[in-house]
Amino acid sequence: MRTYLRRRLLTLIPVVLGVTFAVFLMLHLMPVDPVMMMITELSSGQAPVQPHEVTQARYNAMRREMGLDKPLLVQYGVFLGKVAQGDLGRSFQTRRTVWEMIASNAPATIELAVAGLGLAVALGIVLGVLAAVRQDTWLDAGVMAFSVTGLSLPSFWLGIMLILLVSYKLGWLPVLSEGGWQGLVLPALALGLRAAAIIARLTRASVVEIMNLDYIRTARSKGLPFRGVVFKHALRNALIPVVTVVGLQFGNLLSGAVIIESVFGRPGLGSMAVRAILFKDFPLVQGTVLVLSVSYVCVNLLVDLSYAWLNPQIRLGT
Amino acid sequence: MVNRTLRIMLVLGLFPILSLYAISQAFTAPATPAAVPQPGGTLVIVTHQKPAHLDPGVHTSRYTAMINQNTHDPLIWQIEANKFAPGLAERWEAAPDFRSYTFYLRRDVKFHDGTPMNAESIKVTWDRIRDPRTRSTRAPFLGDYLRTEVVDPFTVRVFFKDPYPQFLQSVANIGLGPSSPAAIQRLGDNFLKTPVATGPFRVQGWPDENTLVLVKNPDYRWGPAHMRNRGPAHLDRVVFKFIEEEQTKTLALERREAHVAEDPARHMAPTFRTDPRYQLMMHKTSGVPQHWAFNVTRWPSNDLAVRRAANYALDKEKIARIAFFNTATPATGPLTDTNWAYWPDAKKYFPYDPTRAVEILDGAGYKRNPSTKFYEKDGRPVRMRLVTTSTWEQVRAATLANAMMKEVGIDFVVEAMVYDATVQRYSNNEYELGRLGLSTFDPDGLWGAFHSSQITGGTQWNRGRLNNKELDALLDKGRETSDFEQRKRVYWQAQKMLLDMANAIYVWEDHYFFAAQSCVKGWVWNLLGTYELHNVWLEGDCRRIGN
Amino acid sequence: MATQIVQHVPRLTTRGQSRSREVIRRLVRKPSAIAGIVLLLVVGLAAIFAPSVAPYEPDAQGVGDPFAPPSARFLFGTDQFGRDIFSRVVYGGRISLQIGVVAVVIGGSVGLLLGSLAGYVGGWADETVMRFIDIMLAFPGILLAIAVVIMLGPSLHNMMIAVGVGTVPTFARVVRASVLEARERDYVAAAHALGVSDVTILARHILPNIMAPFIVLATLDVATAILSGTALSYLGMGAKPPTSEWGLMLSDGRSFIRHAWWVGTFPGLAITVTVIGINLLGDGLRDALDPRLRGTR
Repeated sequence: MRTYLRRRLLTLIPVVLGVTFAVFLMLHLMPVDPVMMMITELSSGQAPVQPHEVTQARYNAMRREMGLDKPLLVQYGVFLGKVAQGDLGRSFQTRRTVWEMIASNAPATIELAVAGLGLAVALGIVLGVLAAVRQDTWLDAGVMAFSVTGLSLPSFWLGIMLILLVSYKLGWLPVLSEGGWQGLVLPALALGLRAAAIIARLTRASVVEIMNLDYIRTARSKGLPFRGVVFKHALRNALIPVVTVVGLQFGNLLSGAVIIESVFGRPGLGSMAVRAILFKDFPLVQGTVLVLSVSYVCVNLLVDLSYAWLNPQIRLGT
Repeated sequence: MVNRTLRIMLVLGLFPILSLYAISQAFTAPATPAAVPQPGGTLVIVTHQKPAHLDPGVHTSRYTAMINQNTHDPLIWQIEANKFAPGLAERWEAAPDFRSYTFYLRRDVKFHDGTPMNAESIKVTWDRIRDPRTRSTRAPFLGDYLRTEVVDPFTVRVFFKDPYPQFLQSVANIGLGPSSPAAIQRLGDNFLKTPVATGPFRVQGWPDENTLVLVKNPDYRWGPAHMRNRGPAHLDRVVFKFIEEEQTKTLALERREAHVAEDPARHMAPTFRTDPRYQLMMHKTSGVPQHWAFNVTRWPSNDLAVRRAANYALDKEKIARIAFFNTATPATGPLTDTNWAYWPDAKKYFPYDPTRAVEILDGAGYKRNPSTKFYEKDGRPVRMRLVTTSTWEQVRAATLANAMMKEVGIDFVVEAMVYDATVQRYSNNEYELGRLGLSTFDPDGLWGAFHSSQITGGTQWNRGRLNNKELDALLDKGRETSDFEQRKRVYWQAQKMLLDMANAIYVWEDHYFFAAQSCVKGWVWNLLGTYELHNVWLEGDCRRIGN
Repeated sequence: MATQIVQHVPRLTTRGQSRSREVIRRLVRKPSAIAGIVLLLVVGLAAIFAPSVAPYEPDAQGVGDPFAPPSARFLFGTDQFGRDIFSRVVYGGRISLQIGVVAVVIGGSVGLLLGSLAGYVGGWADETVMRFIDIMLAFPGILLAIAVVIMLGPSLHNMMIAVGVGTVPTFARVVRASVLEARERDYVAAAHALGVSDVTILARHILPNIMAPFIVLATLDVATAILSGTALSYLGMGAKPPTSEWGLMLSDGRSFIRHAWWVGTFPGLAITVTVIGINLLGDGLRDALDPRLRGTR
C-alpha cells in the first residue's frame, strides 16, 4: 500500500507540472494582446480608452512590467515560482486577487457539486438496486428507461424545464437559487441526473452479477433474508465500480456546473471561469483552471486510494 | 379683439404648463401622482450582468452606471440638453476661455463613512482618476487635465491645458462624483468592490458573488431639486441579483420573487403592458443608434447605389415588430430622435421601398442573375457580409434583414460571432458591413463613430472606414464649439452629409427594457438613462417580497 | 467527457466473418437495440433525404405566420420568423449528426494513435502518453472546449475540433488497455518470435482486437459529442445563426418556451431522441460484442 501510494504520488508531479505549463501557455495561445488588455482594460462591448491612444513607450513599459519581454521559458519559471508561493496574481477585471475570487466563489460550486453528487449517488444506487432485485420486470425497464433518458437530455434544457415545472407551475420551490436547501434542490437535480443515470446502470449491472455469484446463492440458500443478503454482500461489492465512477464524474460535474450555474443564476467557479475566458481575464482563467485541475487530480487520487482500500485484492497496477 | 388676445394669452400660458407637464412625465413615467410614499421594505432587482467592480471613478458600463446612480452623487445634474442644476455643488462658474471651472460645494454633505465631503475630497477623487496607476477608463472625462486647486475648504477649481467647453456634461456624469478619501486609503483594492460615496444608498456588501445589497443612507439630505424626494430614500434596502438566463429572470418576476427584472423575455412585453399585476418601464436611449456601417473601402459597399438600395430594402418596422416585439423603434439616421441634436429631416431619407431599391440597382448597371436571383456586375454578385456580435438582438435583426435583402437581389451574409472575434475582423478589414451603436447623451458620439481617426485600433468604432476631411472638420468643430445652437447646426450638417452618402443602415433605437410588479411606485428614469431608486417605494403586499 | 471504464477486452475470435454475423445475431435479439436502430434510421434517413422530406426550405422566412402552432401544414409549427420548424429540424439533423460523427472521428483517430503507441511501445512512450492524457483529463472539459473555440475562432468546424479534443483521453485509455491485453497473448508472442514486423503485428493481430471496445466507445461518444455541442451552442460557442443546428434552435427557442413551446421543444426532442437511439444502440453493441462489458457506463 505504501509503495503504491508513493508511486501514485510520484506520477502526480509531471501531471501537475504539465497542467501548470498548459495553463501558462493559454496566455500565449489566445488571440489577444494581454499588454493592450491591461492598458485599456478592454471589456466586451465597452472600451472607453482607445487602443490607438496608447503610446509605444507606455506599451513597452507595461510589457516590461508584466514580464512579457523575457524568453518564454523564463516567463514560465517566474510563473511557476509565483504559483509555488501561492501567488496567482490579480484579475484584470475586478483587480481582486485571484485567490480571493476563487475562495469566495468556491463554496457555492462545492455545495452544488456535493449536493449533485450526493443526489446522484443516492438516486443511482437506490434505482440500480431496485432494478437489479426486480430484474426483467416493468420496474427494471422503467429504471433503465429513466437512465437512458437521463443520459440523453441536454442539461440546460433540463434545468429550464425543471424551473418551469417545479417552481413555476407547481410552485414547490423558489425560482431564484437563494441560500438554504430549497434553492439547491433543482440545480443539484439538473446537475446530478446524468451521474445518477450512470450510477444506476452500473449498480444494477454489478448487483446482478454479484447476486449470481456462488457465495450469494449459498447465503440465500442458507435462508438468510433476501434484503440482508443484498445489503450485506452484494451492495458492498457493487460499490467498488461506483466509487470509481464518482471520481470520473467529478470532472463532468464541474463542466456541468458551468451550464447549471448560468441557468439558475448561481454564483460559482464554473460561471466565473467562463466569464473570465470570455473577457480574456488571463490571471483569473489561469488561476481557476489550475485550481480546478489540481483538485480534479487530488479527488482522483483519493478515489484510487479508496478503491484500493475497498478491495485489497485488486492489483494496484497502472 | 379681446377674445383673440385672451386666446393667445391662454395658449402662451398653457405652453409652459404643458411643457412642465411633459418634463414631469418624462421624469416620472409610470408613477401614480396621488399615492403617498410608504417608507421601508426591500426592493429586489434581477439584472443580468454582474459588475466587475462598482467604482465609477475606475470604470462604468451601462449596468454599473445604473447601480452607481444610487450610491454616488454628481457635482451637478444635467436636467436638459443645455441646462444644469445644483447637486453637491450649489453653484459653479466657467472661465471665459473654458480652461478652468470653479465649483462652490454644499457644506452639509457627508460620505457614507461619516467623513465630510469637501474641496479636498474632490481633488483626491479627480487626481486619483488621472493617476495612471488607477487605470481609470473615466480619465478622458477630465480632458487635458492640469490640476485641481483647493481654493477654500468648500471651493474647488479645476484647470485644463486646452479649452474644454463640454466639461459641465462630464461633471454631471456619475463617474466624476466624489469618493471618500479616507475610505480609499483604508480599503485599498477593496474600495472597487465596496465604494464609499455620498449617494442615497450605501454599499452594504456582497452576501454571495451574485448578490449585491445596498442600504439606505439615513443622512441623505442633498437630493436634487428636480427629484420629488430630496431626503433619505423610502426603501430600507435594495438587493441586486445577477442572473444571465432571461427565462429565470422572467419567472422570478412572475413568481413574485423579485420586484424588478431587467431585460426579461421581450415577447412578454404585451403581458407586462396589459396585465394589471405588472408595469413596463422602458427608457429610450440617446446616441448613435444600432447601425450596420457600409465599409467604403470594399466592393460592393463602396458603391453609393448599392448602399442606397440596401437602405430602401430594409423594413425596419418589421424588424421592430418581429425581432423586438415592439420594444425597440426603427432608427432614421445617425442620431436617435431622442437626442437634442437630432436632425428632423433624417426621417425623409429611407422609407421601406423595395421597388425603389430594385430601380436603383437596375439604373446603376447591375444585372439580375436569373438562376441565383442576385444582382451582379462584371460577373461578381452583390454580396455583402455583415460581421456582427451574436447577441439575440443582432441575430434576430440580421436574420430578418437577410430575407429582405434577398427580395431585392442583394446577397446579405450574416456572420455573427463573439465580440472579440468581430473586432479582429474589423481590424483585418474583412467585412462589408460592421455593427455599432453608441449610447451617449451628447451628440459627440458621432465623432467616435465616424471620425477618420477612429478607423484603426482595436475597438475601431469607425467601421465604415469613412475618411472624409469635410466630415472630420464638422465633427471637430462640434467638439470645440461652446454655443448650444451653433453646435446643433454643426451636427445637423454632419447628419445630412452622412445620410447623403448613405454611409450605413440605421436599424433600430434601443430601449432599456425593465418590467416590475405594479406595486413598485415612483420609478424614475433620469436624462442619462439611469434610474434613481430613492424615489421608489413599495405598496401593499409587495413589501413581503425580499423579506 | 465520456466515462467508460473498460476492465475487460472482448475475447478474440480469428474468423471475422462468423464473428460479425454472431454479433448481429446477438444485437437483433435485444429489443432495446432494435429500438435504437429504428430511431437512428428515422433520424438519419430524414437527414440524408432532407430535401425530399422537408416541405420547405429551412431558412425560408414567412412560409407561415410567426409562431403558428403545430398543424397539418406545419407539423412542428413555425418560429418567430415564420420558418417551418419541421423543415429546420430535418435539415438540422445533417449538421448535428455531423458534429457528433466528425468530433468522434477526430477524437477517435488521435486517441487510437496515442493509445496504441502507449500500449504497444510501452516504457517511456507509455509514461509520456499517459501523463499527457492525465493532464488533458485534469482540464475541466467544457473550459477546454471553450478555450479551443476561442483560440481557433468560433465556427462550426472549430467546435467539432473542440468537442473532438475532449474525447481523446477516453479513447486513448481504452485503446491502450486493449492493446496491452492483446500484446500479452501467446500468438502475438509467437508472431514476435517468428520475426513478424511490429507494423504487421499491430495491423493484423492487435488492432482487430481492440475494435470491439473501440466501436462501442465511438458509438456512445457520438451521443456525448452531440450533447457537448448543444452545451457549447447554449454558451454561444457553437454553430452560428441562422444555421439550423439543433442545439442552437433549442437554445434560441428557450426564450419562447411559454409563448410558443414548440419552437424549442421539437429541436430538444430531436436531440434527446437521437441521443437515446445512439445510447441504446451502443448498449446493444456492447452486450453483443462482449456481455462482460455490460453496464460499464
